[in-house]
Amino acid sequence: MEKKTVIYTFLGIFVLIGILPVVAMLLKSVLSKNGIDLSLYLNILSNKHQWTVFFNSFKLSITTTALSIAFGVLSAILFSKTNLPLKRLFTFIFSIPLFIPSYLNAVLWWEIMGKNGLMSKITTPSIAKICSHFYSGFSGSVFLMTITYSPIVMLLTMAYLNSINPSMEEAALLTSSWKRVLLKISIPIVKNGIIFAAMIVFLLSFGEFGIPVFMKYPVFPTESFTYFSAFYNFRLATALSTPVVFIILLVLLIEKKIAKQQTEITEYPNAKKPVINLKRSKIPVFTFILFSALMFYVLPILLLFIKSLPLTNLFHTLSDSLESVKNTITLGLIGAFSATITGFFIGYGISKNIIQKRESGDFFTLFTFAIPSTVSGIGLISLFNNGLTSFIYNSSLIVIAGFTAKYTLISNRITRIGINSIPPSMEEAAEIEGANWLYTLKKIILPLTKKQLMASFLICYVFCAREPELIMLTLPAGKDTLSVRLLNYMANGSESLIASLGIITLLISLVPVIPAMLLLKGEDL
Amino acid sequence: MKKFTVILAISLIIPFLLNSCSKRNREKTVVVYVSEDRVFSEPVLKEFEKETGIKVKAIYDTEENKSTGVMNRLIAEKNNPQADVYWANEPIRAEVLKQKGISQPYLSKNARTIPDKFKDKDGYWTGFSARARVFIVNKNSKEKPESILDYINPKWKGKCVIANPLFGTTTTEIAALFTLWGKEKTMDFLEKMKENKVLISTSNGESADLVAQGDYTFSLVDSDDAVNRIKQGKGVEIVYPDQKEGEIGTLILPNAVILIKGAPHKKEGEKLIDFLLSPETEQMLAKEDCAQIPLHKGVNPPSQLKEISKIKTMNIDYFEIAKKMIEIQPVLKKWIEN
Amino acid sequence: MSLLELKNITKMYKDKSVLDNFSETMERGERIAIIGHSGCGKTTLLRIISGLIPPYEGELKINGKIVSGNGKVIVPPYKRNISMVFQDLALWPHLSVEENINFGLSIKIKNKNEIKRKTEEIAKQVGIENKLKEKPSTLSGGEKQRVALARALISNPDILLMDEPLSSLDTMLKLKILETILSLQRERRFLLIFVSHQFHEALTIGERFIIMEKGRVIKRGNRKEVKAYLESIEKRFKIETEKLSGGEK
Repeated sequence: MEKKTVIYTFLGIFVLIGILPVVAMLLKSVLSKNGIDLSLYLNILSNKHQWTVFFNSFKLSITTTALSIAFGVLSAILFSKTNLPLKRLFTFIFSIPLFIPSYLNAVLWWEIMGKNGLMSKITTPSIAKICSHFYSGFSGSVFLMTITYSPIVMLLTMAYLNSINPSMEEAALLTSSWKRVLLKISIPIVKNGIIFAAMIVFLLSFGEFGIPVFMKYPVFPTESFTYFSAFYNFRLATALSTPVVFIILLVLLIEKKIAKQQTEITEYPNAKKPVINLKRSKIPVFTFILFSALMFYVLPILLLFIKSLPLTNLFHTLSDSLESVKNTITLGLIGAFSATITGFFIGYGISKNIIQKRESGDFFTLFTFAIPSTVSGIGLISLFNNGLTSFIYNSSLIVIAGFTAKYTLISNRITRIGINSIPPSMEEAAEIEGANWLYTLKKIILPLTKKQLMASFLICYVFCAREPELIMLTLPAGKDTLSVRLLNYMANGSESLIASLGIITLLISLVPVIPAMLLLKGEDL
Repeated sequence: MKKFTVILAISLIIPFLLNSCSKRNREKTVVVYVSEDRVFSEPVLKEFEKETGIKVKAIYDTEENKSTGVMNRLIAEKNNPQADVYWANEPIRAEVLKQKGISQPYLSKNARTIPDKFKDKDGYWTGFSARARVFIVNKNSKEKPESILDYINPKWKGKCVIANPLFGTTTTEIAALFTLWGKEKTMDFLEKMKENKVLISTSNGESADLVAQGDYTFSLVDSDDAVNRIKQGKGVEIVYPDQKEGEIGTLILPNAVILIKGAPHKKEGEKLIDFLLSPETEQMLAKEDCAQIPLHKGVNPPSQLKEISKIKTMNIDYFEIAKKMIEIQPVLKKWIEN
Repeated sequence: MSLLELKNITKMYKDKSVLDNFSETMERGERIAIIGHSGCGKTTLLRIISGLIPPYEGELKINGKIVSGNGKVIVPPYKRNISMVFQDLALWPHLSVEENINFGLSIKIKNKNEIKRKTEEIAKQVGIENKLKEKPSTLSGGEKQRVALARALISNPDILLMDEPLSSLDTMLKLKILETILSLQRERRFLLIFVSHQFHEALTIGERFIIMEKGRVIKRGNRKEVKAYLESIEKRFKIETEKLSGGEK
């Protein structure tokens, strides 16, 4: 009984903070004084322009996802299966773009690729022109979004690859080359993980706002956004964001089609994993990776760092923004914790069939993840800003609620992998031994899903730390976080101030990542 | 040990989460939502804190989402307002809020010396520190543009820029033209701009840079953008458009401050409004990169700009513009996309 | 009053009955072996007895008290004084052998010394006293068996359920473990219900036998009767296989 109570409590919280606000917004968009009014939706559906923009968004996110899978999976194989030197360091460097707000990333790359950027100084005018031309519109958006989101694919694929039963690969290696083993055994086994990563990347790029705006590429989120920014027409803006629902349904359908059987992921801590020996190609591959790391990941950060100099300036900015640093860390940690726990219990409920409708669970967690922050933020305000619950709205609880609703998906999916890999007998044995469910949870289930919990926590933290929109809409006045502060000052602030804030934001996003990496040293994530 | 950590964590987290409510009533505070750039507005608000001892809690708009943040928040909070004051960076938003019933009138004593055309007569909003919509012109050009109509003059074909009229002050400018000229003439103007190969840039800042680099000859920008480029030593100068007899004049966009209906700290809010409308604030905002034109007499404008009384200003009704802006969005969109 | 009474126990999964009208009475100190192929319903039966799942129909009494009935679990597993050794042993990989063994005990008893004493005592009896600090993953198959057995017996249960616990062991090891189980059962006099599809090990351990197929009991009896029955089946099997191999020549 207590098991159900706990799970339904978390499910209830999720519905309250995640689904109700958005549903309220959706209802408002269909209800008018004269009853149900679908004219808004019909207008959208019949508007050719909307379809064009929708198609743009679709094209952009499909391309980004495809490229992210290609790069992410390749680098995951290189960094987790081969004898490439410094692979841990590379893993870290390749994940950096994930830690920076995308808008800052866009500006950073502008400093390199833009008209008066670095490229124009070190190359010929014609190359510089090609660069600046490339760094705009569709190609620029794809480029930047792939750099930003491919680490998600890389990290998740690595996590899955590391948990393949080594004997499966070894058995195949007896008869085949590594290439065949990877293609026929390893990758198919981790297929579901890659699909999940692709799903996340697809939805993130579909909802991405900052980069396409910067690149002047018209996409769907900017449409909905224009109606918020120019007309303050919440009904229309909400209506415009509903195609997200179709996208989610599509994503779920595809997932269901390809990710049919649940691959069993089990830990083999003591078994030695077979390693791909790069042999003669070791040096060329290493050089190539080193070059890409420097060019695409280190260079922008270096540029940012140089702009933030002298160090006194950096320290000055830091001492000015201590309050924002504190807020970012605390909100990030609590938000990530809350999202992880909520996702865990919902995931547990789904995988143990306590929550009966698995499909709807999947749908709603995806839904709150994918819906634009502006819609969910305004939904949260209209639901919680009243006399009764103003203690939530007037405190940071509202931001935590927003984070929880948005990122429950991450831990719901990731921890479910862990939960599914625990044999049911483990829990039953504890039950027979006299442990109640909470005790079993504490002593058996949580420790056995530790890695997945930690991974979800980290990912959620990074997402929380880089998210500005939801915070802007809901954090009580007088407070801010680094990402918001950074974007505040990007309007006319001095370059060095923006650069120092960028560096600080990056470092703060890394706060829990570094101890976690040390903690997991030797173990694989 | 474990229990200790848990207790420690909880005792740190709970106050953090709730501190904004507990402190709320003890200290005198005022809550202000700000659309003016934080770099410029924050020092002014700090000054207010110093002078009055009233704590300012502010939310600033971000560059990325231009101004969706605080405006949407104000509108969404209508039924249970949290903000006392809204500091808009142009008067159109203030008009929108008035029409949505979110503001309440307040006639500040400091508003008396501000010209009537820059404030709402009932006090729903009051303007201060203004931007002018001026031409930034590259000095290498022998000829200078004089009127906004130069955008469609074949002599400037392919030589001028304008920022995307879907966003920011350019939208306001086009909407102003719609109110002055009517739909037909303005649409004709827009179409001819296209024929004249006017480049559409992302922002006024980008337009100013393009002219400063010499890629283009002139662009309509906000006066502060132009002043910045002059200060950076770029070879550009400022031209006030349409100053001659019979011409429409230069569009002036003051900052605007409003008192929110149902403001939880009304008194403090009024004090903040008084402060923002004071000549001292205008002086602060006229300095350095902010470079706004003061509306009070006797406050010096930035050296690169004229006094407000010496500019022939566009004769418009901000209320009409606010209404027009919503109307013309689809038109502008279509125009941009084709 | 009998220790365990099962009355018309039925279990359905999606309209298919996996256990059909099972009734039996069992006493303290008995060793009962349930023999059948996988899917015959024997594991379901154990799970119903333990209280992990409710029966669909029928009634289950322990010491005369109804513990499951009306399609519900009335007394939860841990109040039945039952222990179980799972088919996959279900040793918790993140806990040491010691923690595995005294997991249940440390919920009931707070005195650490007593827990330690009892843990060491049972570990000695099953012969793993040297492995207490290690993690299950470092143990051999036989040692894992012994840990699972120790964990099941430390709280001195009235009933011990064993679900094919020896299926993964080789014959010699199996014998040794069987010996341990038998001696412990004789000493402690619990009711042992042993489920297996390998009738040799079942015959070694049991004294009363139930043969099941597709959720129904097809034969009950003592060692002699069941042995004869099983041998007749084996004989038939031999003849058939000889025919097959002969046919290939």
